[in-house]
Amino acid sequence: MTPPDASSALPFEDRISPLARFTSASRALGRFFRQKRLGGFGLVIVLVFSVLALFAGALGRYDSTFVFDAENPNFKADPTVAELAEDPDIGSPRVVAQYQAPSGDHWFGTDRFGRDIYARVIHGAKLAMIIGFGASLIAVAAGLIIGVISAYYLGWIDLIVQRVMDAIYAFPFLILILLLVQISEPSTRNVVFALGFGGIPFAARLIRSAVLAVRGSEYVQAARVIGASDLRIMLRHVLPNIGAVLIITFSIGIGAYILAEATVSFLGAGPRGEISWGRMVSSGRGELDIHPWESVFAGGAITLLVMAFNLLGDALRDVLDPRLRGV
Amino acid sequence: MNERNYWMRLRDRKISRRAMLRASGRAGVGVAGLALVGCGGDDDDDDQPQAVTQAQQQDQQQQQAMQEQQQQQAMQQQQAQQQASQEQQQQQAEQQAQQVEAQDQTQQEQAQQQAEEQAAVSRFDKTPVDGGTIVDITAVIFDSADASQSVSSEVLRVLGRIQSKLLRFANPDSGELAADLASGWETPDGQTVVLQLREGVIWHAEGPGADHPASSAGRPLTAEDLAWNIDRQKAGLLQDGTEGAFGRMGYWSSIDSIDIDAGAMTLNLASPNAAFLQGLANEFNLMGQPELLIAIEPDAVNVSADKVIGTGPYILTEWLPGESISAVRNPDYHSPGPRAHNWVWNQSFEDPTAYRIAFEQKQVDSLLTGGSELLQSIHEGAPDSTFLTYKGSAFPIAAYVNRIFEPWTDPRMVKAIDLAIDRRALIQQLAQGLGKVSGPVPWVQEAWAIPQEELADYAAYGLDRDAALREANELWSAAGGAEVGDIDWVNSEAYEATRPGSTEAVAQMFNQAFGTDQFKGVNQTYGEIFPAWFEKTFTTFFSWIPNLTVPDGRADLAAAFKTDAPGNYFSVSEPDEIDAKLDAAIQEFDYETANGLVREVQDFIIENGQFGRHIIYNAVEPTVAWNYLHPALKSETEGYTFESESLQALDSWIDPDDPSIEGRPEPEPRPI
Amino acid sequence: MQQYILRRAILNIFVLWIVATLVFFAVHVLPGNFAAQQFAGANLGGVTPEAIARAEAVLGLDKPVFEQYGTFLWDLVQFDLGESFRSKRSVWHELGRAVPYSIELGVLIVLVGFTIAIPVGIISAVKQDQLPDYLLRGGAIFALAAPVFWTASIGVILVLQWDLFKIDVDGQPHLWEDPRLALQWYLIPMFAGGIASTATTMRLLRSQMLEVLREDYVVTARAKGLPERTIILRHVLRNAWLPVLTVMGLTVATIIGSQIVLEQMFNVPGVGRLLFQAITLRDTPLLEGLVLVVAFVVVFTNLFVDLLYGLLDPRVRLA
Repeated sequence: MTPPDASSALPFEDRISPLARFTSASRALGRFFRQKRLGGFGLVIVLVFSVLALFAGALGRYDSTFVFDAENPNFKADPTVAELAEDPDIGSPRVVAQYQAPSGDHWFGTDRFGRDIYARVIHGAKLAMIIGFGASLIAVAAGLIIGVISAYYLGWIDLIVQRVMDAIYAFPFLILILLLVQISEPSTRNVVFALGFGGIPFAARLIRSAVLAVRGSEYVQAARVIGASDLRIMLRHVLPNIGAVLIITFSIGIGAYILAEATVSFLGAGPRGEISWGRMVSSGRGELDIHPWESVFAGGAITLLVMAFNLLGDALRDVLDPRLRGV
Repeated sequence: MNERNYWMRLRDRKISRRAMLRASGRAGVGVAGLALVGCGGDDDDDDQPQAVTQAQQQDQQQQQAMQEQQQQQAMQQQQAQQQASQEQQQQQAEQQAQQVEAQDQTQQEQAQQQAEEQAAVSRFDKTPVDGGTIVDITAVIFDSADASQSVSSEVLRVLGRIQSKLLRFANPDSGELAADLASGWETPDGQTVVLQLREGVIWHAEGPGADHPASSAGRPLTAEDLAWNIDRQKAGLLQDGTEGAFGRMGYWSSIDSIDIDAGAMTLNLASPNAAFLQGLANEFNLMGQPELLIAIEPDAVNVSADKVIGTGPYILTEWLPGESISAVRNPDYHSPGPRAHNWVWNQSFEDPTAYRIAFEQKQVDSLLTGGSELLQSIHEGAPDSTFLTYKGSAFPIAAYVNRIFEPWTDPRMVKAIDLAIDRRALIQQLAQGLGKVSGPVPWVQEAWAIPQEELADYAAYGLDRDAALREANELWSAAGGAEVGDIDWVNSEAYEATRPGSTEAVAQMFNQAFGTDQFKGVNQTYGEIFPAWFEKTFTTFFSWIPNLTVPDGRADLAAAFKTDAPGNYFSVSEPDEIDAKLDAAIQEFDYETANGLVREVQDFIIENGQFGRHIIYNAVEPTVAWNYLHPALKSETEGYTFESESLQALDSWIDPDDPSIEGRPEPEPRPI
Repeated sequence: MQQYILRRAILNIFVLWIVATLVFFAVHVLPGNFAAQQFAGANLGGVTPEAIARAEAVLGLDKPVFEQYGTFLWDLVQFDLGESFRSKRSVWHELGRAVPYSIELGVLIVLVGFTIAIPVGIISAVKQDQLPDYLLRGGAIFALAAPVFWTASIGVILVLQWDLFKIDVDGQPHLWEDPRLALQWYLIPMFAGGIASTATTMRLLRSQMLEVLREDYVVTARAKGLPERTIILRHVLRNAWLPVLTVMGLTVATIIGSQIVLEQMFNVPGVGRLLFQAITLRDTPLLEGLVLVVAFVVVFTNLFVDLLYGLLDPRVRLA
């Protein structure tokens, strides 16, 4: 069971100098890109979106809420209903530049409110990142504590904890989120917590079964026999061995939470005051065949980012799981 | 940059514009057709001509304002028609020129176009056929099975076909009246209304309502039944002595006493009231059977078919909200038809695409949501089997602020908001341009509204947005707007659902106007919003407001601005400038004088930033329908703005011979 | 074993009680109630606080919360889920109408999902890090990533022009009544949902198979010279099944979740749409009843999966 490269297998060992750690990390990264091209691709996309989210103001070209308009030479002060039917713009001296197709000025076109879709997609990355990382972190952190305790001690603790998990889990996920979000105002923070909360049973369940598998292994049994404390066993033997599961849970999580937020926003209950890709899809959907751009680009952004997170998670799993390394 | 994009957009639109020219060509033909037929819109109804003539004779005899107003409107209409036909000629000329010049417009297309126009004309001139089932859309929840206690137009969608009123509108938009339960009416003076009651009207003899143990099936309608309906709403009390939710209490309270004698009923008004007569035809003033209404009082909010009995052309056979609602022909109805035999209501679609697909597959007969461009493109996809109509919306869009609470206690803030609302941009963003700005009296109440050109003289409605914004910002900074902190701007959830992003866009409009980020969009349900209005605990609001039910704008204005009016959520108290003038206007039978008074009140209201009741616009709503459907329409291309359920009930029919009916699944109403 | 099942069943009832309590209090703290929502279509100045109070009294919403909770639980132990505020019909009746549609759609989604997932997962594992693996995984990952409401929206628009797809608003046919029409009607939601659910199963199957492929007994089997086909089917797949089974259990809940969106979008009168309507209309009894029934299905499916897990893998002892 000795891994070929001891330094990266035992990252907690402090005999490795910072420099050595850095070079080994960059070597690991290089190996990651060489061996896991899809994962590397995912990582690059995630990084690109992170940069876009961080510097949305500069990279978005325009203010995401600015309404573009132009003079209307055909303006008529009191149009009849028939005239309006013929030219809906006729009643306004300035015309909102709505529903424009992609062009040099507006790379992704404009939406019904005359705003630049490209800028909005870029700004939407912020919310997606916050939701994805935030909710997944909450779920995995809570799930880790619950899963490890539950699986390690089993018995009545496990029994009670699992029943509560079952109860949350048995609640239809979207309904749970909709309820939690509607109880208080649908702010970004509340949506993150609601999603994280809803994800706990999922994370705890995966982590628990991983711990269960480790728990039955010979080295844990051996550690017990030699009288190692529970905490020591958990930290030294259980935790490092479920690292892969944690990463997978976390990575699947991110994509899933971004998707869930998009769905909740699509249904009209997402965070207010933020640009949400899900809401963009829904607002452009009614006339998808006439003005497809808003829905197509927003949905594309969701797909791309979620896909990137999934690819990255997949590749990380392959690389990090000791039994699969070096294949 | 924007200029170029705008023109690019026009170019992109070229095809649809050409199609629209065709449509407007038809509009011209339609208007001309109407002129030939004359003003009797519903000649097919046996009783109508007589009743209308009678009414007109009375009106001529008494030289009353209502009639003058109608005449004036008719003149306006004629002018508009002339104008329209001139324009139409021009357009046709243009069109021909285009046809000559444009290489892409082929012979085939021209032929198709002509065929289309012919088809359209013949469709409009077809003789109604008896039979068939119309499929309509309605809500999933209702507030009462008792029309007197309902405030939901969705209830009317159902009950308007089952029950009758004293009078009804022959044309809801001009206010032209027709007989209903009253076969004729007289107004010997401004304070008295004499109604001749129709003979031989009986309550439904069969159906779930007739089977209800408390109802009297097949009993003749009496004058006492009608008087009971009126007295009950006037008193506003239920049998147990508690107050009922009688939304028209204010209206009926203007009656001082009722005299009944031999087939006639005399309503003695407390004071002269020029707006009263129209109210009898208000779609909400349906008459129910006293014994059944008493029996269902405790749980009228739980609607079901057995709680409804009427005298109308249809019998309600099922009323399961969200599941199925249907009505079948009343064989005993006094004027037999021809009209559709049954109605089936489906619950409204939450999803626009589902609604649209259902329409395309003829599961529903008409489609009225989804945006004008979508409806146009659907029509263009099937130009020979569908038709497009437009109507003004009776639902004004408005923004409210509550003058009781900070920071709106400062009139400068209220005015700044009025000026900051970019009405014409909102029309484009929220209604795709199909709409017109509305003052305190919305433009759909044409006879009373401030004409559009004159409205544009006000900064808030003006064409010079920069000037309006300068003024708004001056007021804003003078009132210390920047220091008031975050302002939550409430938008209704229902509106956000149909116009995703509107909450954010409205908040952004104010933020952009004042160069701030204090405005935050917030959503609430009407369940939260309405009580907050009545308790005057609301702060801000943007969305549809309660709809207008009659074309006479005086009563609506009074209900919103008179000191003690139930709809005065804004704590406006201007006895001299508003109350006295509106009272005078309502009592005034001379249209010019009354209109002058209403105008003065409107001017005063706008000068005060509308007291926080910022009316923004009324939309023009398109509807696309299959050719086999013949709804009651104002003209071939225009529908009615105001509630016209009774008209739809009597005049809608299905053409079984129209080619478009091919492939329509036959809807199944529940039989009696 | 019987004792275990009994114990778990009792525990599940405990779980359902937690769910019932959760949903009861969650709906009761939501702003606005059904009585107020009833007046949402209001268009005249008649909605007074008194009118709303009266409507609340008719619905029993004026009673103290704990009294309502007590009544709710008492009715619940008698299997009485109450009446829907909206239709005034019993929640059981509403369920009876909705459940067949949801099951139909759910089964179709699962069928589509597994039909694609199993072969794809096997091929992807066997051809690990080769072109087919990359392509299939790429496809699966794309399917997992694309929001179902987005693919379904685009799907509709693409399919619309060929008249392959139907929406039925009046008397939607069941599969057993008119299979052709019903399938047309389920076409888009079934594929949108199915493809989205494929990815999870396929990814898990693949990674489990990869793990098993490294096991000693597979190496031994290879050394013995068994044909690859036998190794995959007999040794690898059999042992890789277990976690996939767990996922199947988990998928029940996910599918119900994704069905809310699909049913809402495609006017399917199933449990998902009913749930969403119940929450927007604040139809408390309906929401409580539906959530409980869904929870019931989920917890007992889990029990079933656990039992199966124990039967199939002797290493996991059920105690």
